[in-house]
Amino acid sequence: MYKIASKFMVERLADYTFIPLTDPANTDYQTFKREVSEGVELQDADGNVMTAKDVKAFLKTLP
Amino acid sequence: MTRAANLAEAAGSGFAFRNRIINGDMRIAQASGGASSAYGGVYPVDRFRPDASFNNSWTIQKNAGGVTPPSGFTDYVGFTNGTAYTVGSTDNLLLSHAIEGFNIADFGWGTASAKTITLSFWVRSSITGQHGGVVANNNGRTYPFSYTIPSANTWAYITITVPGDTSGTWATNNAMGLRIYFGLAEGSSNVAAAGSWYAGTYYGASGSVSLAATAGATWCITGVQLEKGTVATPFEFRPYGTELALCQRYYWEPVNSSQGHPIASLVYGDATYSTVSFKNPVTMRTSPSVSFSGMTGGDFFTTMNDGNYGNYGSIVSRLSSPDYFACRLSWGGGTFTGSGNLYGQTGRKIMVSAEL
Repeated sequence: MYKIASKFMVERLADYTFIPLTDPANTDYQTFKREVSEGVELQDADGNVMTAKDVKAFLKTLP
Repeated sequence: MTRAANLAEAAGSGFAFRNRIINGDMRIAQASGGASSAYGGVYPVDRFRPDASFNNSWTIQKNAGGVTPPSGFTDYVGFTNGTAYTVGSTDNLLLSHAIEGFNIADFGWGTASAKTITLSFWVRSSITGQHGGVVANNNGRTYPFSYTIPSANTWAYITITVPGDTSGTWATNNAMGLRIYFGLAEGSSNVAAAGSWYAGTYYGASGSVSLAATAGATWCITGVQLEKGTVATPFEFRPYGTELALCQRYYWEPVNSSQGHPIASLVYGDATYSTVSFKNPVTMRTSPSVSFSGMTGGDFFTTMNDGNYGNYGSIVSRLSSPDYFACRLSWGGGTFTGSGNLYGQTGRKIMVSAEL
């Protein structure tokens, strides 16, 4: 599960890891994009689970 | 190629830094601190990553078992098998080392002028016979290799020459360029005959022993070197500070469980939070991921200024670049106001990773 931490970072909740959303070469970022697009839960900054439609729209904003 | 020609080629890229492996002598262990690593665990030493599809309580650790390393070396990585386990066809148990594309660009792989490379290392195992591994990329190109350990529990020096791959797509930037996998226990679907390039993903050579099959089996490695040419030159010992900096392009820790050790300057925000920026010791491969451990209950970090102090109850990272990362700390109590220095607390760790 992931949670948006800021405009620039997403938190991987399993191990308290913050992943930059600005650098496609980061391997954690690559895994985040793949997992979330496959259906792994993504929460918004307030902790609400994002809908599949919202996740898709969010991913489109990323590099 | 003659020896003179080979040396000339090696000299062309400089005798210094001819070894494309970082931490090949296994000296640096930032993440593990030398502690044992198991299934799902951290790198036992920098740049060498264990991976497995099964957990039979195997462990891997810097200097496991207190074996005397080969002459000239002070450290090694040692694998110890857990219970005896028969691998399934898709199982794997590996130790791997990834090389950034920038550091193999001169190999010319994926072109007609691909250069031959030579891999050398010292290895020791309680299980004699044929062992294996592969040289591979992320795009389905694989070259399995095999080597023989003739005597149990005796260091053997291995050299393997790999012809340059004229096919495939090999990264020449900050992406994963080349990965060496040492196969410790591979299922039948994960192996292929040694000595040829394949379009496919494999992790070992056909006919290799499985270390997982024997309870308590051991395997140790050090002195890993990969260089251009057909000759394995003596291991390139680089200064410790140089090797540490090379490692920190991929991973570093600003806090290593030492209480009272200042780690950064902190800017007081307000009664709710403060911010702190960390300068990475070297420019990292990418904007790093930032992890925190030991952050359960109590005070995570303390800041002090003129005898006043503040404790911070939570920390999040909000910005990251190859040169800096920034965190926001939420106030947890104390008498501190203003700017000061941030201190670690015993058991708290910050881990900064741009690993491949």
